[in-house]
Order: sequence, then structure tokens, then C-alpha cells
Amino acid sequence: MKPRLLIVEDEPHLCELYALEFGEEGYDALCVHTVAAAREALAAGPCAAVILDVQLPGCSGLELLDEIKQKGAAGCPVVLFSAYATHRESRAGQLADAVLTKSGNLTELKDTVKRIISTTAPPAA
Amino acid sequence: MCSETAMTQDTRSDIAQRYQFVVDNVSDAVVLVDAPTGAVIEVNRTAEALYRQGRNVLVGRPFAELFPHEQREMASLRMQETRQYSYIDCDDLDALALPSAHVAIHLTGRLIRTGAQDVLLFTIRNIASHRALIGNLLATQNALIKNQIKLENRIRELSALTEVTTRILNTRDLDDILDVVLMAVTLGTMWAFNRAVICLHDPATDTLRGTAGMGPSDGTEAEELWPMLNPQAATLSELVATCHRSQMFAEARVNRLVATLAFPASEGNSPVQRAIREHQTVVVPDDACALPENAGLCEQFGVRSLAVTPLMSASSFYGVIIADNNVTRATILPEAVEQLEVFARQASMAIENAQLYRRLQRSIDDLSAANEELKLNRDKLLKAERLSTIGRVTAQVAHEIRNPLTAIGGFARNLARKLGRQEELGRLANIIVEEVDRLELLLTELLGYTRRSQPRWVETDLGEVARDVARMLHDELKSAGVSVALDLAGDLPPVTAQREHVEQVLINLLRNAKQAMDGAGGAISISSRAEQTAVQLTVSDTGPGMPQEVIDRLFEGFFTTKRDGSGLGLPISRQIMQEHGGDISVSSSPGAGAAFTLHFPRTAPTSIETASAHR
Repeated sequence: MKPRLLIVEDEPHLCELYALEFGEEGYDALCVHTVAAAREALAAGPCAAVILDVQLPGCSGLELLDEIKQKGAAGCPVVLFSAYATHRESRAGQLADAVLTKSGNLTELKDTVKRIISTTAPPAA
Repeated sequence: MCSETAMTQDTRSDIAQRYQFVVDNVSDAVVLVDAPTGAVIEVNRTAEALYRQGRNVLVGRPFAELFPHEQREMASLRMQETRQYSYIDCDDLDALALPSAHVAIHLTGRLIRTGAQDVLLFTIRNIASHRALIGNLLATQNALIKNQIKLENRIRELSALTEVTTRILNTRDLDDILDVVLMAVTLGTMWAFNRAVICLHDPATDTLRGTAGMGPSDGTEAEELWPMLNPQAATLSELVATCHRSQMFAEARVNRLVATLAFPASEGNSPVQRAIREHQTVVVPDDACALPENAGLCEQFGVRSLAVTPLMSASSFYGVIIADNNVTRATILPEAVEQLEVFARQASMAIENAQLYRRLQRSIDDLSAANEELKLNRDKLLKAERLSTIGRVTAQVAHEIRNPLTAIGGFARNLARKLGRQEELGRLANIIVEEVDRLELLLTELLGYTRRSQPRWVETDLGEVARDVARMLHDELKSAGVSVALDLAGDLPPVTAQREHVEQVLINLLRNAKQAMDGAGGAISISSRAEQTAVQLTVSDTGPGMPQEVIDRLFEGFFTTKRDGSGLGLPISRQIMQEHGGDISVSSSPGAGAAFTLHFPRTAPTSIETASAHR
């Protein structure tokens, strides 16, 4: 079964790019544009990892990060993928499993996702 | 005709009587002398009175006998002269009155030719009272001259005093004041002291310390020093001008004495402490030098007698002047003490003035400095605020750009990968990828330039930072064929720095070096050095080096020699170093590699503007 990847990103073109790239990498990539939609998707079924933007309409991606991490082991790994590099030094940065700055070169993102999925215990199945 | 008739009518004796009356009653003594023999033949009453002898005694005596023994020769000479020249007039003779009184006289002699015999007529005027008057006059004149000299001396003293006072009060420099006072006390002819020493009070330790001295230490030195005093120097100014303490007394032994002097101000009973306690001059006379309370000071100065006068104003105490006559051993006169006190008062006022002036000057300097700093800080704040605004706007724009750029770059990469086989299209897609990469780098560095987290100043071990950065970039450098050698001083003092920013600078430098040697490989070395005021970190490479025209533009924003460079790495590095109160320097020449040196000050940057620049 393909690992399920939740991508939270409000920019449609970026969503499409991630979906295309991760689809080609063999992931089941699900794109949502808001925190609310992300909550629904997470409630619907477990994810191998979440790729999370920070600046989202209505509700910050950091809130979602908090919610996921509060679940402890029940939560899934989160990669913050943001235009702002500052998050690396913030509390959110400590909370997230990885913090990367957005770039057209997705190699680092793909490598990171691959690494954290392999090192994190799979969600309770 | 008429008189002739009268003459004939008068008898001869009548005429003779009348003449006799006249002659007897003139105020001068009249003596008629027989010219050939020199014997007196007639005298009048006035002559009798003058000589206190009767006519009968005087007539018949030689003329010379009317004079004192020692003058008789002179009298004979005058008589001869009268015979010879018919007339004499002199007042260098005395009449010899009985019993032996000398009476000063004025003598005139006249030769009268009467046909039968020549007669000499002498008139003698008593000028004794006249002489006495002249004597009195002369005495009075002498007294006047003496008084005038005294007065002139006094005027000279007073004008010198005025001069000293004016000079002292117009002097702001403490050393100059001490010079003038010491000179006034020791150098001029009117001042009675051979040597004087000033000890000033140090309030911190409540001690008096020898500060300045003037005067010879013994006869030998006096023989050397005193002739150097310009005897022509009439005023103190000239004196001061011709013999400055520092020149004249540089070698003098009085300085050695001065150096040894230190007295507690409050404790003890030596003349120094007594003068301070009693607020007045203490004179130790010769016969008191052996007293236990005086012996120490007298011994130290090598004299039996000295004077100590305090330097004090109504509110403050500054020190003492100690003066003595160590060379001439002359007694210390009350006048000298008085002068010493006058100068001590002047000096105290001047010292007070000088101190006030110094304090005032210091306050003014402090205020000016504070004002300058305020202005500087205000300018820096304004600049920082401007930068901060620009930074915020830039950051916003940069973030807005990053999203579309990520999409463009991502899709272009995807395309390039898929078109890899179709050569031309693949190449074009790759160009998009490369250009987007460049733009992304530019964004990253631009954000680094404008967006900084709150600066965190920490004690930083630069060696540790260098090791960390070298470790961080190890793989990246190794893959480019570049080796890194660390040559770090073991005892490098820590500096106060923003560690992350210093890391960024080092990363910039190492990446630049790598890129400079890219392809060919090479070696980077990081060395450190502690200077007296700075700590230095140098990154050198074995790359191709740079010509001067490149070096000149290295720190300009957006200047780059690299195809994929942003031109911001070095300007940002310089800005970071300047925020640390340091700088970055470069030395390089074509073919000789390049060395970039970071200079950190050993003290922490204190200004607040570095912090405000990032808000």
C-alpha cells in the first residue's frame, strides 16, 4: 500500500507540484488548502506524514501542528515547509519533525519525508 | 661845586669820625694789613667781636695769626695773592676766635695803593650759621634720598606682588601656579628664602606628598644655580621666562627631596601638621629644632630653622609650603614669613580656581561627549528604523515571491527530468531551473540581510564556532576536493558575539573559498590570533586569488564574480562584523590565494543601536 501523505498548502500550483512529485515517488498524496480540511482528512484516516505550510487562510498551520503533536504517539510526523526560515528557531520548529524552507528543488523535502517515515513507528494500524 | 664847598667847611676829623662809625658798624669784620710786613694796622668793632679780642691786642699782630695754626700757611698765601692780584674771595678759612674756637668765615681781600704804603683791606664775614644750615640741608637731603630708595624698594615689592598675584590667578595649570609661587618665594632679591617645597594634599589617602620644589640643596649647587638667574630680570615675569623650573631644576637635588616627602595630614605634631591644624604659619627657630616634634622635619630638610605655611581657602585645604635658608643659614625674618603667607594665600586661591576650572572643564567635556553620543545614537536609530522598515517590506516581498518561485522551480525541474532525453527542450527547462535556483539563493541571502531574529549576545569561543562550521561543511567541501585545516590558538579569549551570525559569516567565507577553488580543489585553513585589543579569525584559501579591482568591490551589495552568486554574502558579512564592533578585511593577489580576516574587539560592543537595528 502506498504511504498516505497529507499536504496542507493553500497555493493551488504548489499543491499540484507536490502531488505530482510525490505521486511519482510512489506516495498517495492528498492535498488540502485549509487547516479545517486537514483536520477532516486526518480524522478520516491515518497519514504517514504531513507536509504543512504555515501561512494558511483563516487558521495558522502552527495550530494544526500543535494539535497533532498533542496526540503524542497517536500523532504523525510533520514537516513544516514554509517560505519563512524563522520557524526553525521557534517553538514550532522544536515541535515539528523537520523544518524546511520552500524551494523549487524538492529533493531535500523528499529525502526528509522518506527519512522520517522510515524512522517513525507506523501509526496504529 | 656845592660838595667841595661843604668839604672845605667840614673838619677832617668830622669826616674821619663818620667813616670810623660806618666802618665799626658794618656787619663784616674789617682788618687793615700793612702790605709789606703783613702786620695788622687797623680793625673795626665787628672784628673785635669776631675775634673776642680788643683792638689793642689785634693791631700789630701778623695777619696769619688771626687763623688757626694749620691754616696760617694758607692765610699767608691768600695775603700774597691779594698783593699780587689785588683781589681775592674765598671761604675755605676759619677765624681763630678766643680761646680756640674756629669760626667759618668768608674772606675777601683787596689791595689799596695809598701812595705812601700799600694796604691790604680784608673783610671777614662770619658764615658759621650759614655752614650749619648747609650741613642741615645736606643731612635732610640724604635722609630724603634714603627714604626715596626705601619707597622705591617698597613700590618694587608691591608691583612684584601684584604681578605674582595676577600671574597666579590667571594661570589655570597647576604646575605653572606652583612654579610661579616657588619662584616668588625663592628667586627674587626681595624674598628671603633659599629653598621652598610644595606638598599637596591627596584627599583619598589624607596624605601630603611632595609635589614641587625649587632652590639649591647646598652651596655647590647654589654656585651653579644662582648665577643662572638673570640679574637683569627686573620683573618676576622676566625671571619666570628666563628660568623655568623644569629646565633649571630638572637635575637639582631638591627634586630628590621632594620625591621623599610624604606626611599624614591629620596625625602627628610636626610643624607640617601644626600648620594644618592651626591654619597658620609655623616657624621653627634655630633653638627649637632639637624639640622632638620638630627634629624629624628639620633633619629631613637638613636645616635648623624652617617655616611651614598652609595652602588653604575658606572651604578647602590643598597642602603646605615648606621654606628654609639651607644655603645661607640666615635667620627667617618676620618680613619673609609675611611674604610667604601672602604667596600662600594667592596660591591657595589659584589652586582653588584651577580645580574649579578643571572640574568645570571636565563637566563641559562630559556634556559635549554625551551630546555627541546622543546625536550619533539618534542618527543610528534613525538609520536603524529606516533599515528596519525596508527590511520588513523586503521580507514580505521576498516571502510573497518565494511561493510562485517554488512552483516555477518545481515544475521546471519536473519538466527537465522528463525532457532529459529530448535534448533541446531539456536544456531549456534546465535553464529555468538554474535561474530559479539563483533567485532562491538571492532571496535566502536577502532575507538573511534584512530579517534577523532578536540578536542574542553571548560569550562566544570563536575557535569552537570555527570547528563547528568546519564540521558542518565538511562533506560539502570534501566533495569539491577542498580540505580544511584548523590552526586555532588554545588560549583564545572569548568574545561577546551573536554566535549564529558569526557562523553565517564563516559559512559564507568557507563557501566562497570552496567556489573559488571549485573544480581544481585546494586547501582552506582557519587560523586564530589574539591581539592586545582584538581577536582575529582568518580564512585563507589556495585559490586563484583576486586582482585589486575585484577586491575593491568585494563588499559592494550585488557585486559578484560567480555565475550563481547573489553578491550579498560579503556585504552581509561585513555588516555583521561591524555590528560586532569589528570588521572584515581581505588580502589577496592573483595566483596567491585569498585570506579574509575577521576582527573582533576584545570588549563587548556597548551601544544599544546594534540591538535596535534588528527590531
